[in-house]
This record gives sequence, C-alpha cells and structure tokens, in this order.
Amino acid sequence: MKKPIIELKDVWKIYRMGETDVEALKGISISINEDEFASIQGPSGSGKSTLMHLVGCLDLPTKGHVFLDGHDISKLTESQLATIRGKRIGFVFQAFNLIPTLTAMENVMLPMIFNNVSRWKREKTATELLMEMGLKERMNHKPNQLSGGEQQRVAIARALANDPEVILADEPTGNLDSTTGKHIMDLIRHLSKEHKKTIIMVTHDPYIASFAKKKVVIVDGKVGHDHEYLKKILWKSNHEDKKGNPKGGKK
Amino acid sequence: MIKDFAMLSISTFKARKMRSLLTMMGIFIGVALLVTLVSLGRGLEDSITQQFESLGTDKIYVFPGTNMFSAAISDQTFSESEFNALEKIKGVKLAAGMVFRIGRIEYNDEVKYVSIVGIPLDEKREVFKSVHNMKVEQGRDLKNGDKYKALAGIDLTLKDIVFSKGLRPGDKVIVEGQDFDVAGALARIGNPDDDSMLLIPLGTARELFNQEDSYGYILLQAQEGALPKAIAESAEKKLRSIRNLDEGDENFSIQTTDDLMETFADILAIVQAVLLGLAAISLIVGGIGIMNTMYTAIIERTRQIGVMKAIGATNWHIALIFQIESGLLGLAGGIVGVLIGMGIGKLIEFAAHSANLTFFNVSFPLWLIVGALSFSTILGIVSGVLPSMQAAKMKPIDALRYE
Repeated sequence: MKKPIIELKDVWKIYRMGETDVEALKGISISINEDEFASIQGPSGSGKSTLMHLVGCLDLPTKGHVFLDGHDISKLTESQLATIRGKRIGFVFQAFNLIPTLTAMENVMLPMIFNNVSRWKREKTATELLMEMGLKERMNHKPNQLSGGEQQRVAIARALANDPEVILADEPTGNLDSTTGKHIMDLIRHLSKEHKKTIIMVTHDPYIASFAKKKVVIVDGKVGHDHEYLKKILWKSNHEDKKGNPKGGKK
Repeated sequence: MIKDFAMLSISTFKARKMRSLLTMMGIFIGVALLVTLVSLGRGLEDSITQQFESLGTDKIYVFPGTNMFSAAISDQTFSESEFNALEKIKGVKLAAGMVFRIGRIEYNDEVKYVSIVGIPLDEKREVFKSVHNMKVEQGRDLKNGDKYKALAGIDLTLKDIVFSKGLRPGDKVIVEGQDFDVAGALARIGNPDDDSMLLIPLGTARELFNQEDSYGYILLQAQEGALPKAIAESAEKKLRSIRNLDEGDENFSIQTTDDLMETFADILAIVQAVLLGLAAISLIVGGIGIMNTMYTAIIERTRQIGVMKAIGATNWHIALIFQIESGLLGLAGGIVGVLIGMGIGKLIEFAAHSANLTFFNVSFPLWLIVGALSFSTILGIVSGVLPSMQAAKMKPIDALRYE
C-alpha cells in the first residue's frame, strides 16, 4: 500500500481581520498518497487557497497538524519551511510567476541556486528540463518574449528543478486558452505518469479537475460530501462571480 | 551564490536603466566631488610643499604691513637703519632688501603696468633669485655697475601676452619715463605675476620711486645651525623697539618658510574640510536615494519575493539578494564617481597649466581610489539594510497575493 506523502489532521486556519476572527479552514483532514494525482476544487471563498498554502508549506495551521512524508511541519520556522519547499515541493502558478528580468534558463536555475546546487549541475539540469518541455529554442528568451503556454512550460521546468516529490499547481491553465491549457494538462499528466510525481492541483474547473484521480472538494472551510450540493456550487462558481453576476463582465 | 545573485541584480538594473542611473547619480556626484577635492587638495599641498622646499627653510621674510599679502600694495617700507639692525641680528648670514611697485612701462608705443622690482646687484641678489626661482635664460644677468638695465620676465618677451610684440634683450623700454636697456630675460617661473615682472637695479628703483634709504621687503638668510624661528623672534623684537610698538601692534610681519608653509596648510585644511563636509552631505543624500530606490524595488517586486520564497529562498537569501543589489548600486556609483572625479581633476590641472601655473599637479593616490570605492559600496550596503530586512520578513503568502 502506498504511504501518504501529505497528511492534514484536523487543520484549522483562523485569520484575525480587525475585530473578528475568520475561520478559513474548519477542521480539515485529508491525506494524499505518494504518486497520487489529486485535485482540490471549491468555489472562491471556500478556503481552497488557504488549504493550498498549507499543503505547499507556505503557511502554518492555527490548530492541527500538517505532515509531509510523516514529519510534522506545523512547528517549523520560516527558513526551515523555505528549505523544505525548495527541495520537496515544486510550484506551478496560474500567472506563471517567472522572474521577468531572467531568461527561461536562469528562471529554471533559480531554485537550484537557493538549494546550493553547483553551477555545472544547474546548467545541465535546466537544459535537460527545458528540452523535455520542448523549449530547446527558447532557453535564452525572457518571459515577455514567450507565449503564455511557453511561460507555463518554463514554470513547470522550474518546478521540477530540484526534483521534488510533490508538484503543487494552482489553476495551472487559468490564464491560458483551452487548447494551450490542454497541452499543459498533458504535461502535468506526463509528470505524474513518467516522473512519478505527486500532483496536487487546485482548480475550480471541473474539466481540468477531471484529469485527477482523486478529487477533494472544499466548501466553507470543510471537506464537502453532498454530491448534488457540490455540483450546484461548483457550477455557480464557474459561471458567476461572488456577487452573483454572470462571469465575463469583469475579473 | 553571491555571483549568481549579483547577476540577478544586474539583470534588474538593465530592466530599470533610468532608475538605476538616477540612483547611481546620487552617489557618483558625491564621490566625484570627493575625489576631485582630495586630489586637488593633495596636488596643492604637494606643489606648495615643493615650492617652499625649493625656497629653502633657512629664509626669513620681513614684510611691511600686517601680512605678506598686503606687502605689494603697502606704502610702508623699512628704513636703512632698520635694515642694518636686522642684518646685525645674531645668526643672520645675510640680509637682502628689495623695492617693488606696480609701474608704467612703455614699449613699442604700448603702455602697460607691471610689477617693477628693484634687486641688489651684489652677491645678495643670488639669495633673492634662488628664493624666487629666477634663472636668466636670454641675454645676461644684471651686474654691479648697471644703472638703467632691466631683466624681463618671460611673459614680457612673448608675443601677445603683455605686449603685442615681445621685447628682446637689447631692446629699449621706457619705465616711469626713464629709458632702460633690456639686458636679459628670465626663464619661466610658473606664476603669471612673477613671469610678467621687470627686474631693475635696487639703487635705480629707489631713485625712480623716490624711496631713498628704504626697502619694500627684506629677506634674511640664517647661518647654518641658526634657528630661523629664533631669528624671526629677535627681528620682531628689534623692529618693535625701533618703532616703539607694543606687542600685538606690529605694522610689519615676519615669517619663516615653515610659517608660510603652515599658513598655507592651515588655509588649505579649512577649505578642504568645508568642501569635504559638503561632499559628505551629498553622499548621505545619495545613500538616502539608494534606500528609496530599494524600498520602491521591494514594493514593485513583492510578488517576485513571494515566488522566490515559494521556490526555496530563505529569508537570508532574500536579504542577501537586496543587499547585493544596493551594494552594487553603491559600487557602480563609486566607479563612475571616481572616473568623473579624476576627469575633473585632470581638467583643472590642464586649466592650471594653460594659465601657466605649471607647478600645480593633481594626484590620485591609490588609497583615495580604493577608499572612495569601498566607501560608496559600504554606503550602498548600509542604505540597503532596512529595505532588505523588510523584504526578508515578508510572509510568502502575503507576497504571493500582492498584485
């Protein structure tokens, strides 16, 4: 049986906003196994972003425990968390988040600089990853010289730079057209199948979520169970913004 | 890693050329000012020391008036008896008296006013000539028995400086209505006043200026082993008693070469201190400029900081990145500043040489260059401390959320 790589046990996250406490997560317990392809779905305000931050070791829970590979990370310092993130988690963001002044190559090498990898190894790894992402001709281009799809492929190469166990993708296709989005999803599926990475993908798009084997739905800071209710909420969140206006007008 | 972070900073500078340049400008103006001032100050100090050393430290200068600068325009003079008293002071090897005035010269139907200096014709004239760095280059020197003969400063012999046609040894000039023969001309002395003077025999000058039995300026030379300072003190006492003056009421001034050197060094030190203070203020302003730029950069790159933290940058990495960036801004400002400062220094030297102040040379000692570069780098680093700490302390989730 596969062992869990990420495990949340009765996790609470409470933000203090002015005079009131906002409970973003209310006692969430989930477990994601090694090599699993999981999606976290939920409408905006459901707490899925907060959940992603905890899973990505970007933040610590107010109550409860987060285990990464069996180790409780809930009591670590920011620098210890940073080192763990650098070595064991690769991030893919909706807005790509490449460093605009660096070339594709340099962007992919950056996590390895923080991880004290030798220059020679950095160049070799970055070159291999960019070639795997089909960006052989694009290595010395800056982000603004690349298309959205190409930028996201650079970001995926960057996420793989330190060979982490977990890839955390936050709406990876959110800024892409559907064809390009499909290509990116194929790449992510490739990471899961060929690289045996654990993939945790946050999305509100049911089509994108359908690539995942395991689906976690978050509603109102809890793991959701009611299938029909969820379907309704997810449909709503896909077609309307928070105030109930049809989507597309703004954002 | 530092090298990699430096590359990251340089890529940022390239993307923000104008802002980086403006920030650096705040530093390089201060550094350029500093380098120029110090190199000029050093140059002045060196050339003054050199000049005074060439005068010899055994000379004592006695001027009418309360300071040496007023001597040339002073009506006061020393009498023959005062001169004799000074000559008899213990330790005085010889005393030479001179007379000088701004006088009218006529040559080739042109009239000019220049310094006319009456010098002794006996062996004493050698002291005077050595002190004032005079060498006869054309024609012959003045000698005993000359009456209406003159030695011309080099500028008088050149075309279009004083006279449109330079005068030559053998030419006739009319000084204060009296005909003189030009016996010879001096080599360049190095300052425009001295180079345009006309030397005539002391006796002739006294007649011409109605200054029988008086001297405009007395030069004493100490015997070997005698202290110029002690001679200066006795000379002062003696002149005071002859003139019946209380201490502090002197209407003359006596200075040794050391005194003159000190006076110049003091003036120079004050001027330099004031100017360096200004340079320091401008550097502090430059430092504040760096700090401001760094704060702006951090706000602008908040999201990048979040991304870097997400992909494994520790607080220390982030602080180091911004620290290197501000240090590099300081260093780059320093390099440009040193180059501009050296350029301005050389330009001033060139201008001084063009104005015939040939003794003036700027100097750029290694410590000045290394010091200016280290100082500007440290200034950059120090200015970056607070912004870097702010960047390092950002929480990754807040930074990532920042739009």
